[in-house]
Amino acid sequence: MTGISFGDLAQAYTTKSRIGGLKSDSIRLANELASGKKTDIAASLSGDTSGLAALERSRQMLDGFISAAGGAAVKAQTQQAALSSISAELEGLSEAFSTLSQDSDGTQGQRVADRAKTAFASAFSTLNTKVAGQAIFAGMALNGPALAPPETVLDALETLVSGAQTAEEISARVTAWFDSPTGFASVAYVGAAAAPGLRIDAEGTSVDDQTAASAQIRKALAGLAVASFIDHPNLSTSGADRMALRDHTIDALQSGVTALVDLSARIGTDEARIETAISHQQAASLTQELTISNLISTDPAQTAVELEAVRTSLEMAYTVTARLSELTLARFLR
Amino acid sequence: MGISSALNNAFSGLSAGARLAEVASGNISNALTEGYAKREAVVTGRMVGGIGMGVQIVSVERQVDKALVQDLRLAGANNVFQDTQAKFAAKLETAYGDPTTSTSLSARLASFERAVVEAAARPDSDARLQSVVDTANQFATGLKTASETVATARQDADSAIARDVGFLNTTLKSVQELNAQITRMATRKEDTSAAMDQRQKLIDQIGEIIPLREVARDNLQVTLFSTTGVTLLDGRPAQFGFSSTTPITPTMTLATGALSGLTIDGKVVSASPNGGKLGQGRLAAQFELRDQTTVDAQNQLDALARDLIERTAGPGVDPTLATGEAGLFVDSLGPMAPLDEAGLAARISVNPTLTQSSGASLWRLRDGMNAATQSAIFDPTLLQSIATRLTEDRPAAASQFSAAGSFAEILADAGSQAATARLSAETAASFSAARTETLKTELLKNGVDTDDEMQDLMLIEQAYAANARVIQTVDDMLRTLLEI
Repeated sequence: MTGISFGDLAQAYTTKSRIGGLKSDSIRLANELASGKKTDIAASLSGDTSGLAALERSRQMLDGFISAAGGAAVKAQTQQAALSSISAELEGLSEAFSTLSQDSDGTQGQRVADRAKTAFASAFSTLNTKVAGQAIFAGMALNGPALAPPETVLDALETLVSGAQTAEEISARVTAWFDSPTGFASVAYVGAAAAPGLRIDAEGTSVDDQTAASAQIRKALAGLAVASFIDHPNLSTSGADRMALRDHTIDALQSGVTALVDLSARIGTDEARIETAISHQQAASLTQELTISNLISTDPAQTAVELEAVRTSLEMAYTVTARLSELTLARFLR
Repeated sequence: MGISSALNNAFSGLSAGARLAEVASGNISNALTEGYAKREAVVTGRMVGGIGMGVQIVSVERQVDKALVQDLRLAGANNVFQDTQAKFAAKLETAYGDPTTSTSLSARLASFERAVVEAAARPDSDARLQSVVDTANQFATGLKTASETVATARQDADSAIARDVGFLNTTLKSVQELNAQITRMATRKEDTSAAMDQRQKLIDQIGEIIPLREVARDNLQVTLFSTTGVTLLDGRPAQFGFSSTTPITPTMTLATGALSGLTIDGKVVSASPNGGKLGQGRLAAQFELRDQTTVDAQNQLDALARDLIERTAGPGVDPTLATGEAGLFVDSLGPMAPLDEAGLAARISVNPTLTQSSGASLWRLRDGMNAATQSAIFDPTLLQSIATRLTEDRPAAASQFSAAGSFAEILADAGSQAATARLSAETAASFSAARTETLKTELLKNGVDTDDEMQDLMLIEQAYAANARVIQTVDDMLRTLLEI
C-alpha cells in the first residue's frame, strides 16, 4: 500500500513550517512598518556596513566640529567688539589731542593726560574680557587675565621715562619698551603663547588664536601710553616741546588705529571662514542624514502591501489547516 | 475433509484478522511518534503439506526507505554544521553592532572622536575632558564586551565537544547492545521492529554529531562508518577521547597543547571540517569554532585594541611618555609588548591615572599622562594629536586588515567583515535547512496515515465478519448433518 498513503506527520510538518515562516515574515514586516527601519540593515547592504558606519561617524564629527566652530565664532565676535571699542578710544583721544595748542594751559594738558590714562586702563580691562569663562586675548592661559594691572604698567613706564628730557626721547623709549622682550612681553603680558590653530572642520581648516601680545595691540597700547605722558614734568613748560610730543602722540594713536583695523580684518577673515565652515557642515550633516535614512529606512507603502499579502497567505493557511484537520476518515465512520 | 478444512480456513482468517487489526492499531497509536516506521503485515496463503490451508501472517515488516533516511542524516548533519557557524557569526555581528545604534562599536568610537575634537576646542572645560574619558571608557568597554562574547563562544564550544564526545561513547555502546538484542530476538522469531526503531533513533542522533553511513550486516546488525571512513561501530564501538578545559584564555590553543584534541581509540584525529576525519557535523563545527573562527575573531579584536593603544602611545602624541609607552588607552596588565597581543581586547582600558581620581586628574589630558604638576596653560596640542593620530592612515599592525586606514575605517572594515560572514553563513544554513526540510517531509510521508489505517481496519472488519459467517455456515452444515 506504500505510495498511496500520506503520513499524517508529513502534512502537519508542512503546515507547521509554512505557518511558522509566514508568522515570522508578518512579525518582521509589522516591525518594519512600525519603526520605519529595515530589520536587517546588513543584509540590505549585502554585508558592507562600512559605508554606513563612515556616514554615521562623519555626522558625529560634523556635529563636533560645528560645536568647535561655534565656540570660535563667539570668541571672534567678542574680540571684534573689544578691538572696536579700543579703536574708538584711540580716535576720541586723537581728536582731543588735536585740540591742544601751544596756548593751551597746563590744566588742559593734564586733562587729556588723565583721559589717556583712563583710556589705557579701560583698554586693559577690555583686553582682559572673558567670554564663557575663557579669556579671549590671553592665548592658552584661558583662565586669564591677559594683562597685568594698568597701574603696574604705568609705574614701570614712569620709571622708564624719568630720565628722558625731550618729547622724542619719551616717545622713543615708550615705543621701544612695547616691542622689547624685557618690556611689555615680560611686565605687562601675563597670558600665554597663542594656542595652535583651532580646527573647525574635518578637512583641517583652522583659525588662528590672537593674543594681547600681538604687534597690532601693542602698537595701539603704545599710542595710549605715549599720550599719557603729555603732562610729564620733564618736558619744558615752553609749549614747543609739548607740541612735539602732541604730534608724536597723534601719530602713534593713528598708527594704533591702523594696526587695530588690520587685526580686526584678520579676525574678520577668520570669522567668515568659521561661518562658511559652519554652514557647509550643517548642509553636509543634513545630506548625510538623508543618505543614512535612504539606506536604512523602508518604503512604508511597499511594506504595507507586503504585510497585507502575508496576512492573506496566513489566513489562507489557517483556513486550509482547519479544513484539513476536519477531513479525517475517522470522523465519517459512525 | 472439506468441512473441517473450511473451518480451519475460517479460523486462520479470524486469527489473521485479529493480527492485522493489532498491526493497524499499533500504527494508529504511533501516528504522532517521530521516527516510528510504519509496520506492515506480510500476508500469504498457508500451505500445509503442499495444500493450501487458509491464510497466515508471515512477518510484520518496518516500512522504511533506507536511502532517504541516509540522505536525511547527511543533510541534517550539514544543517547542524552550518547552523552552528551561523549562530556564532550572528553573535559576532551583534558584538560589533549595527552602526546606526549608539551602542555599536563604531558609534562608540565616533562619540569618542567627537568628544576629543570638542575638548580640543575648549581644553579648559572639565566637562569636555570628562566626556573624553567617559566616551573612551565606553569604547574600551565595548571592545571588552565583544571580546567576552567571543571568549564565551569558545568556552561553550569546548564544553559542547566534551558533551558530544560523552554522548557518542554512551550512544555507540547502546547501539552495540541493541544490535545484539535484535539478533537475539530475530533468532527467537520475535518482533524486532520496536528495537530497530529505537536503534534508528540513536543512529540519527549520532548522525547529527558525525555524518555517517549505516551498513547492514548479517542477522539484522548494522555497522557505522563516518562519511570520511572512520569506523564508529563494527561489532565494537570506537572509543572517543576528549577532555574539556576551563577556563580557556585567548593564549591557549590546540597547537600549543593547552587545549585538548580528539582521539579515537587512543589515536589523535584531526577534527577540522576540511580534510579532517569527522566530516561536517556538529563535532567538526564545534572544533572549527573553538580552533579557528573564535580565534580569528579574537585576533581581530586584539589587533583593533593594539592599534588603538599604539595610536595613542608614545612621545609623538604626549611628550611626557617614553617611546612606546601607552597613553590614553592602556593594557590593564601593564606596558604593552607586541607579544602580549593575544587577549588584549579583553584587557584594554582607559589609563587608570585618568579614571582613578574621579576627575581630579583630567588636566593630564592637556599636560601629559606623566606630567608632574598641572600647568596654568591650557594647551590643546595633546588632544589635537590624539584626534590626528586616530584619523591618520596607519599601516595595520595585524594581517586581518586589508589596508592601512584611519582607526574608524579599520573598525568599520572589521564590522563589515563580521556582517558579511554572518550573511553568508546564514545563506548556507538556510540552504541546508531547506534541503533537510524537504527530505524530512519526504520521510514523514512514508509514516503512518490514519485514514489509510482506518480503511484497512474497515476491510479487516469486513473480512473478520465474513470469516465468522463462514464458521456459522459450517456450523449450520454440521447441524444439518447431525439432525439427520
